Amino acid sequence: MTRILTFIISWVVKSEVRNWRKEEQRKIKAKQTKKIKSSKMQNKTNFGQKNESRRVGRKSGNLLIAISIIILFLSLIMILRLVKDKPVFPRGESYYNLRIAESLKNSAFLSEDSLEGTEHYPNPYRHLITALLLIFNSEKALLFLPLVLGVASALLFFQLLSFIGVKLGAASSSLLILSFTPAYLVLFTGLYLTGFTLFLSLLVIVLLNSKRVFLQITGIICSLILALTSVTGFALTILILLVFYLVLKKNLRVLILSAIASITLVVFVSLSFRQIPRVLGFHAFNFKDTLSLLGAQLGFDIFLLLIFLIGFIVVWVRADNKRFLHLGVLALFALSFFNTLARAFTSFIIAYYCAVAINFLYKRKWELGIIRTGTLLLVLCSLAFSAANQMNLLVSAQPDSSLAEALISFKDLEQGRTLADEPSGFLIEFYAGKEAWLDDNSFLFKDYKEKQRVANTLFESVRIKDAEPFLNQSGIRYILITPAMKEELWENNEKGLWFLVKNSESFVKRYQKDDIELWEYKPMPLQTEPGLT
Amino acid sequence: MKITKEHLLLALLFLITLGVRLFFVFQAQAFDYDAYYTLRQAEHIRETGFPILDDPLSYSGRTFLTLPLFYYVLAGFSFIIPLELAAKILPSLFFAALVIVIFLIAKHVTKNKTAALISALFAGFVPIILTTVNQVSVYSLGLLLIFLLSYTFLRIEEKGFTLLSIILTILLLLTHTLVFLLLIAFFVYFVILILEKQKVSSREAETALFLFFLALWFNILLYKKAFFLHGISFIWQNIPAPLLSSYFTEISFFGVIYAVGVLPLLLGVYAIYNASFKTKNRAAMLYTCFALVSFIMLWLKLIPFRAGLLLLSLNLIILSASSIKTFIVRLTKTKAPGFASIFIGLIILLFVLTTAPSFISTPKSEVPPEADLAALKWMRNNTDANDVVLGRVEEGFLINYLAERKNVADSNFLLIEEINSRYEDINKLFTLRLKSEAVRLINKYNIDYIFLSTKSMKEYNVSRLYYADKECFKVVYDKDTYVYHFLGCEI
Repeated sequence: MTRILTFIISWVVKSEVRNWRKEEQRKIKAKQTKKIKSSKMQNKTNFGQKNESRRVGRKSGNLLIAISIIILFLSLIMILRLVKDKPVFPRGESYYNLRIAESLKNSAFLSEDSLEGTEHYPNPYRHLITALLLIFNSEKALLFLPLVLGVASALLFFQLLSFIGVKLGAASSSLLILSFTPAYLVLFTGLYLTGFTLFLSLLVIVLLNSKRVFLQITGIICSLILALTSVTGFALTILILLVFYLVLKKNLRVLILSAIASITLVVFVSLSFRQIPRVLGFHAFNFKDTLSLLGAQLGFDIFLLLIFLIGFIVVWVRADNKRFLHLGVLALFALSFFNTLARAFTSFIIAYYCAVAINFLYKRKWELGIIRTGTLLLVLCSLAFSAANQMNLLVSAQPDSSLAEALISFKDLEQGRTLADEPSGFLIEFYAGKEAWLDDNSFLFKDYKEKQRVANTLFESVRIKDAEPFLNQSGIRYILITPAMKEELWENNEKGLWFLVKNSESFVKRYQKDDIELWEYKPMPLQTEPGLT
Repeated sequence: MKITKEHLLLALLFLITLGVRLFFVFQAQAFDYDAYYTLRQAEHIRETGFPILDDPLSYSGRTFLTLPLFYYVLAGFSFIIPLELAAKILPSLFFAALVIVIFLIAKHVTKNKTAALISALFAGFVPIILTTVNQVSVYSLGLLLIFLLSYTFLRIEEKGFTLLSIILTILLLLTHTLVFLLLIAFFVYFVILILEKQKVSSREAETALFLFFLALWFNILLYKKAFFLHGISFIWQNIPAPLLSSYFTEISFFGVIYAVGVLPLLLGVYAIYNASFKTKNRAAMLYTCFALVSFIMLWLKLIPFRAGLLLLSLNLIILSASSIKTFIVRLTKTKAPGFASIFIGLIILLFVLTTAPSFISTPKSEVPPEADLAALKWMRNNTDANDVVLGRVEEGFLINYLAERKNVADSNFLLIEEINSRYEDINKLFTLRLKSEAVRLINKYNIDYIFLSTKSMKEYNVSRLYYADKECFKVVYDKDTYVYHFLGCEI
């Protein structure tokens, strides 16, 4: 698998570099012909040609370095998790996708997630995971999927930059900065639908911008897959393509064709399955969702945002003919405060502007050397800090081996609804095969607020009299208490539900190891008073 | 350097300002409630060389995120004079030194010694400054550094000032987060310069950019955990909702007049008009931007009320020098140039007349009554070192410093989870009538003693704890204030 991966990456990089070389050499030749015609200084131009080739060689080296760093960063997170004896994927959507993919092995078309009770709309990504599981017959094969998608997305982004005339050096630098972006590190170290959507979007944009008919047809097919994967992603891609087509003054025929075909397919699938596709990722503006510093899972780094602003100003001042494109970027940036997928897209785009800004700061003639060195050092430190911070979060994220072990042993118990904190929901469903009272998909339910209220009331209950009505009403049978819950909910003091389960006869301990506890709720039978029988 | 009349006058002004402040400071025997945190930090530094980071006493155990420079300075001085004396003298010294800095800035802005001296006088006796008496306020050093930094920025084109500004920024970063206000003011200043089609100096822009990155990076590194925990409410220091209104009060027109003084306000506003539409003086423009940023931050309740007013008033005072100069120049150009001296005399007289009443009536910081201090000292000698003492939130630092016991809460709210419920519980424990609920809360926070101070009695309008019966509580101290010992009941 590693060999295949290495081969694919080196092949793609080589072909990218080859294309670039060809393009650059063509440009050089054109320049030289002009020069020869005007001055006929053959010898000098030969020397120039060598220099140019060397320059191109150096810049293609930059691309290789960027790709290597991307691979290093992405794999480092996985390796560190493995070294810490943790499951490779951090908790969250990855485990939901894995569980659904496992279910798809038995039935190719799921209309409902039986465990969660939610509708399941057909999604190519989960089918891809199923296919990989069937081919390699091991979950380990999936470890490479996010890595491959991450590298491929980076290369597609590189290709995209070349379409708008970004130089090889700047494009390589953009990839380098991309590898430091928190959103990128999150998306391509787990099985996230957003990561796959992003990859497909970039692929569609690149293919539909190609001049070759075969590639355009492939692009249309990919846009069909994209529309099935994510309606929001598809809509964003069409909008981005529209801006591209308008800026590059291309014929809109292919774009319209692709849009119509995709919409038709979505309508057809929706009618066939009698389900409406979900438009996900939209939320109200909240700093906590936007900035990774404040704990956003898919957020911007504050330093990158600042550098982006500098880069945007520089680009805006320089670009007279492409201001429409930059205006589009600004619109996407504004949208990213309200949509997760747009934020993922913007994280890629921001990388380019950051590269421009850093290049500007580096090449600018500064009044004082000390300020220049200091500023550049701070920028680099902030980038390193941003990446290190995100990596640390990903590496230290749950589940660890003890939680996985606890949940696996939980699998053997009888079926029943489980109460735990919301982020542990997918883990319970994946490892234990038990229904979680709350998980990251619970917001899809109409009674989500009520479910949250019940959970919070139970977490605070210290008397069985208070907890009993809620336990009976909700049908909760198991209570999982993790170290994170003890810290976050009860500040490591035996309070609330933690106190109750330990001191009430209505709860039976089913598991306790490494600070993880599993309790089963067994209501005490009503005791009949003597004399009444 | 030759000592001129101007130097002598400035030295005299500095000494008068210091003298007046010290006169007020030594009137009170104690400090304001929050000052005891500073004293504890300084004492700890003197003993160990490091500030308190993991404190077992505050909130019965928590982590502090603290900027230590002011505490180090205080600890340094405490080797020469006793700590409590240093805590009285040093902030007054810094506030008095502000007079010199304001003089330097005003002189640079106006190129007029008389106007600069008058604005230095304003700075020494502006009413809002007097509210800081009895506080061992970190703002004393913070304000001195921030205005020094702005002065070095004015002279950034001169040799050595860039390095000085970097050093000052580092010192300021280690003192208070105020530096962001100045940095935002720099950017507003650049925007206004660009709009006015004036040239932005490369050195100014480069230094501002560097300082901004430096400040941001430093603060993010330091407060990363707090950002993560509190989100955007970190700006409001995680202050409990009911207390927030007293920390970040809404700005009122009369409040500003009262704090800044009528004359500096009028002259400052006229200077803003002049700098914006007539003279386009760059230095005056910078302080206009600084005043504007302070005002907007105050308006949006993004900075504590007192800090915002201090900044606003000092900026207006600097700008008022510009107005005074304009009037002096105009008067000297008239057929009776002697009017200029009369005008100066009139300005000083007017300032004295308009600020004197507020000078007398301005509320000084609240100091704890002697009876409360005595009770806390008693607790230090008669309770166990691990006991938890419940007091008002404002009395938290006092419990830590004087009684050397753990508190339930104090005024440093950063990194404390569910602060609103804790604050509410504390208030409830002073007013509850139901014993079962009180005992539940007492057990929740592992409280051993309840300190019902004279201030608490006044604030909660109680003369004793209603629920404290003989079964569960014992009054162990009863001299104007009460100390209740919880006997360990379970409900």
